[in-house]
Formats: sequence, C-alpha cells, structure tokens
Amino acid sequence: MERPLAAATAELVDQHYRAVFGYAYRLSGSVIESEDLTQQTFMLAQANLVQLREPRAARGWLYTIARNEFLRRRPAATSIALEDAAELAVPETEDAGWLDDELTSERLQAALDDLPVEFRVPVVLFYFENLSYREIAEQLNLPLGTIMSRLSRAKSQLRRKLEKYLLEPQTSPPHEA
Amino acid sequence: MDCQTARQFIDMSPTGASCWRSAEGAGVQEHVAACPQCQAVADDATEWHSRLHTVMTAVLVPNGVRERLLAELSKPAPQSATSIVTGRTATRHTFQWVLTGLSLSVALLAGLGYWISLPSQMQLVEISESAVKNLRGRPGTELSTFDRSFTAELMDAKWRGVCDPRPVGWDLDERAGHDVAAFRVNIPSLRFRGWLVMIPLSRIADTPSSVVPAATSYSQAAWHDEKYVYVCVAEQGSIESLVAQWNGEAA
Repeated sequence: MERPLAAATAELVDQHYRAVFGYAYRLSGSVIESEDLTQQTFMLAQANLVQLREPRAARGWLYTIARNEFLRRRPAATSIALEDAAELAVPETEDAGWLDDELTSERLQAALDDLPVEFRVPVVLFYFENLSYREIAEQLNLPLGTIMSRLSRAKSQLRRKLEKYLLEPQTSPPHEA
Repeated sequence: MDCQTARQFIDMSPTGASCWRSAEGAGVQEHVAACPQCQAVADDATEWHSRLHTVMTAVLVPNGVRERLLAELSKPAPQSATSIVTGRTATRHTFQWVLTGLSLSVALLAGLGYWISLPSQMQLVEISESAVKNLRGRPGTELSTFDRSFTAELMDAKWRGVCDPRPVGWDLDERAGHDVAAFRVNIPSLRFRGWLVMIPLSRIADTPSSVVPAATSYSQAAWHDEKYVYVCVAEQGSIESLVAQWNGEAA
C-alpha cells in the first residue's frame, strides 16, 4: 500500500531528479544504472533527510550520495592503482553513425566511458559539479597530488578527443525522451 | 604572483568555483588582468570548461523516471514489530502464533511437494527484472559462464554477428541449472551496447506476441521465435533505434 510522500521529499525529487539522473548517467554511462542510482539516491536521502540542514546544499548532498552509491557498487578490482601508468591506454572511440563535427552528449559520454573510473569520477566532479581540485580531493578523500595527476591525464585525453568538436558547441541527449 | 602560480590556479579552479572568491583567487585575477599571456590562458580555460559543462549537464531524462521514482518512494519502509503485549494477551498471542506456524508449515510442505512436481514457468517481467539485476553495469567477466542447461544457440545470423559467442547465465527458480542465457551485444554503428537474453519458450507463461524485436520499455525489447523468448536490454544507445534498424525501418 502506498503512503503519501512527505512534502519535503516530493519537493526534493521535483527539484533535483533530473540533475541527479544526469550526474548518475555521466558516472555510469548506462541509462538503466542511472535510473537505479537515482532511485537509490533519493531513497537514502529520504531516510536521512534530517541531515540536510541547508536546503541550498541539497543538490551537492544528493550528488555525494549518488557518487558514493556508484563507487560502492564498483567491484574492488576497479580500484587499481593507476598512478604509475605513463599513459591512459584506452581505445580510440569509434565515430561511425554520428553526425559531422558536433560535440554531442553521446560523444562526450563515449569519451568519459573510455576513462577508467578512477579518472572519470574526478572529471565529472570538475566539469559537472564545478568543483576545484582541492574540493575534489576532500570529497574523494584522496591526496591533492593524486587528484592533480589523475585530472591532468584525464583532461588531456578528453581535450584530445573532443577539441575538434568544440568549434561549434551543440548538445543532444543520450536518449530521446 | 608569478605566471606559473597563476596558471596552476587557473587549471585547478573551474569558472565559478568558490576558490575564485578567496584571497588567492583575487590575487590571480589581479595578475591575469595585468598579464596578456595569462589572460589568454584563462580565457581558453574558461571557454573550454564552459562548453564541456554545458554538454555534460545536458542529459535528457527518459519518460517515466519521475513517476517510477515517486512510486518507489511512496512504498512503505520495512518496519520492525514494535507493539507491546503483556500478560494474558501475550500468552494468547503466543498460542495463536504457534497454531498459525503449524498450519503454515503443513501448507508449505504440501505446497512444496506440488511445486516440485510442476514444470516451472515464469513471467516475462521476471526475466526483464532479473536481467537488469544481474547484468547492470557488469562487463560479463564477473558473471557465471552459461552452464548449457539448455541449448542456447543463436539461430539468427544477424544476432550472431553482434553477440559475444560466450553467454553468461543465471538461475531464476532456485533449482539446479541456469534458466537464462545472456549474450553481450555490441553494435558500434548504432552506439548500442547491451545484452541479449534468451530463455526456452516453454518456460515463459506470457510469451511476447511479436516475432521481431519490439520495444517493451525505453530500454528493453522482447520477441520470440519457435524455440526461445528473447529480451534485449540496452545499457547504452537507444532500443528504439535498434528495433527500427533491426526490423528494416527508417531509424
């Protein structure tokens, strides 16, 4: 039997579910997992709503829940130490089926998917959440040097792959609604 | 402040980040205003970040997500029994519980015998849900290799061409052997990645009516042939485009 949602929860959903879904999609690269992460994020938020003392901080709080949930689900094997890798060994993204030279949401996601999780997460924090390196280091509980190293490599790779599309900025969704 | 320090700060601090309002940020802005080279670096960083941020945050949400989310949040949370009973009431309740337990045990044993004797059939939705649960975010290597409890052979050459030939499998009815086989699907031309799940036709109670891939939700399609029921689960890419392409329609 369903019960009426608390007004605070319903408001939280209405204001932030799109942003949380988008954030989860950029992290996971999967529509299915994004919906699942979004659902889990709001369920955890609902259970811990008293922790949210400052409504203006809600979105960042939800992002943190979503990110922690995403990382919790990753197998331990993905937490490999990549700090010593000289280069990110990743395949070139295939371009077939895309139009001309626009930077689309799909192209960006393909470039993100090519990054190992350890590199992708700080990139999403930097470009999606607009966090500085220092804030990212605090959020991920990692040394600043580690974040500098990872972001330096990841940003270089993104730039290499995407720069050609950024002459005329345009966007498109991963899936039509 | 020197150029190196300013540029490092610029590189590490996206436009609009709170650190730009710090004393160090103010110092960088002052330096940039007086240094054309650093100004160019800052302009480039700002433009690049702004464009990437715009595209990165432009994710359209599939239809129905909000409704499913609200419905899920409206379900009652599991609660522990907290009622307090005392004295004779407690004794009576205990007796009733024992009687209920005994009745349930007998019923369960009878039901178990009946269940064992029946060939088990499943609903298509169970297959869909188990596919999402088992395959979500899995590269395939973490899953059990299909145990060949039935002949999972892809008869359609088109599917054979886009599927990993080594299926994974899992059990659904908690009896011996895998009930489901799933093949990793990768179609680069459609930017499609996902899974093709197959299960013998006789095991599905509500066979999908279509004999060609037909979308059943925004991320799944289902159909059947003379031997199997198939469910295709999208992880990346559009199921509608896949269905249209597969059935020879204009995407």
